[in-house]
Amino acid sequence: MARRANKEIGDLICATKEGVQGLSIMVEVQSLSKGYGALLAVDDVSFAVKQGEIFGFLGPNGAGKTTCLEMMEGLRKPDSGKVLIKNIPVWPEPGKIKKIIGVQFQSSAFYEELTVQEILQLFAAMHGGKLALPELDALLEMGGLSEKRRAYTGTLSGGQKQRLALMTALVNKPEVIFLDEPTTGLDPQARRRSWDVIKELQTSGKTIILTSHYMEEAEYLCDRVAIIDYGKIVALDEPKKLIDKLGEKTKISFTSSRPLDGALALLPGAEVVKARSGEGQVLLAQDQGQAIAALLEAARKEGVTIKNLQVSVPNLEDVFLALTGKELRD
Amino acid sequence: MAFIALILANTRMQLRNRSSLFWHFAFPLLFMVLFGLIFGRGQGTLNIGLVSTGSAWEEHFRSALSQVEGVNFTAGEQNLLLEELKDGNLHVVAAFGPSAAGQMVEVELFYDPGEMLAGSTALAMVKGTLDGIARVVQQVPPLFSIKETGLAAEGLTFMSFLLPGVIGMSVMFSALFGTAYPLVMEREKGILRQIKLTSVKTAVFLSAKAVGMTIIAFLQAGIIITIGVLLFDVRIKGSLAAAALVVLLGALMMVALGLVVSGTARRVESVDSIANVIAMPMMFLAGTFFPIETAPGWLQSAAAVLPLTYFNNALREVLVRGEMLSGVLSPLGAMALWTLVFVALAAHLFRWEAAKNQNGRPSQAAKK
Repeated sequence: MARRANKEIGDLICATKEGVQGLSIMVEVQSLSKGYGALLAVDDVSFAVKQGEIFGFLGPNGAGKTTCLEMMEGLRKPDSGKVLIKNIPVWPEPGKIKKIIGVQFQSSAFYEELTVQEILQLFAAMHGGKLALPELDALLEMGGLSEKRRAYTGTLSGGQKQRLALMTALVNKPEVIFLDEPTTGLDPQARRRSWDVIKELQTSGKTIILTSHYMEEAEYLCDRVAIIDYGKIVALDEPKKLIDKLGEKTKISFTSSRPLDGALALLPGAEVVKARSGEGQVLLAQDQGQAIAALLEAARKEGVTIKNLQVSVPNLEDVFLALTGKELRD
Repeated sequence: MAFIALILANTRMQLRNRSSLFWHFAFPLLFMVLFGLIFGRGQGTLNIGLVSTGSAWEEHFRSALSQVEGVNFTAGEQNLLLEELKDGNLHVVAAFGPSAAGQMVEVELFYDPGEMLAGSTALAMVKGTLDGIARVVQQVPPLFSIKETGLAAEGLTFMSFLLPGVIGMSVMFSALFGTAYPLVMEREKGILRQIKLTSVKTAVFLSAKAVGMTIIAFLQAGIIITIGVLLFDVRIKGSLAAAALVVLLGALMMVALGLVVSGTARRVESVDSIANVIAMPMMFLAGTFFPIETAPGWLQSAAAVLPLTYFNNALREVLVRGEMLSGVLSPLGAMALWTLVFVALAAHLFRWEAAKNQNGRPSQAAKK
């Protein structure tokens, strides 16, 4: 499986490079690697992001998403490889790109004794500028924080804090915005709201690079996603195309009282992507009717009860499962 | 621009934080008032017990001592008086032996060596009184004409001695903790990383903190001096401008020391212990509350070079002894030297980011 994925990814990167030719490339990453001791956290990663694109890094915890992002932001020095933002090399002088990037970290903390607008003004000043009142108003409006402008940051909800972090990343009017898991830990409503803000940023011409382990987030927001596992990009394309690559397959998922491993492997026209019984089992079938009939027949023979049988159209989650044999959220 | 904004933000945060307000201002105030109530009004009364033995000298003794202000007499049986002494109600108990012609009168004096100050004062007073009685009776003309001029008459009361020490101590604690604690917390929470991504220079960011702490140091000194002058009759003899310069240098020195602590402490929890290990012994050894002249020589030599010692001494000389700046150049120079040492160390130790574990993620403690 992994070998197949690696071959595919080679093709994908080539295809992508052709695809972006002629368009203005905002961020270019070439053979980026970073190790911690024996562990290779980012392993020879290359890709390019076009101006105005929302580019997503998808992968489970510890896949190397954050490390990759930090090397692009100038916070972590790569062992080898290159990052160019607007054709400016990030290393060895990361100070040069400070004016054109904005960063929202995974967990955001603020000075709790300052108010929302004081935080924005302070960060604008630290970037060497001044936030004029209309600009401040516009930022607060965009972040849905107008009513909270005089509230101490310590009193904000999780979603408000995340949006304030995003607004803080915007005070220097960056061209490229990095968002590390922008909606992790938020309730669905707050997540929706953050998505709207991110889409709005794209409309205003910003280039956005984000990490996520939410599939629906990637499908909704990203123009292209890179699926990353063990520090390597295992797939890179538009979300829809990645799903299409699974072919005209149907996803069949169910739980069983006992594992059906042996029988599943023999099912005609179905590919097992996940066979652990406790967490549900997943098949990708060419012919759903044939596969389901065969599955039920096998279950009857083995005396196994099948529950929660579901037939659905595959999504990005299944792409990930098919490529890595793992689920995004463990 | 960024500098001013940071100073403003820092000052705002300090003033909005109740616990830092308490430590900066209420704590030194409390210190001054408590010390003033305990020590500010002199020695209090001396209680002397006189064992009734029927000796003729008792009346002489009593009338001689009763001329001294603040002496209380209690007469009674020896056993009862000694119990009182042990209970701490009496400072000295005197018992006159029988008097026979041509022989010395034996006087037995009991005191409690644990009652250092009042006990020895009372003992000396009783001895002096006995000498005086002897001289009068034997008609020996006094050899010395003693004119007493207490230091207190010049305004250097205990509170005058204490006041610069309280300023030194308060500035030390505030600047040390007020620098180290927020900085380590900001690093742990990731606020410093955010700031690292802005264009602000490290030196500018840290200088703004130093300016904020200096403003607080000036406020502290102002409050302590006002309380001392208004409530405890402390007389400020030196120039306030010179004192301000000493406070400025002292605050900068302690901020620099706070930066060293913040560079050493990996987590917020360790700031307390590291800073206290530095500050507590320094507070006692630097002559904050009392001179340490009775300490062994090596300890005195060590204490003499402590940063706070220079700070306290310079401030005391200028503020209550009326010394000019030219008279405290050597402690000021030593403070400048310490500041440079601390700044160099801090520059070496400063980190924007929290320590990472092996896979490059912030440690659990740092995450939340």
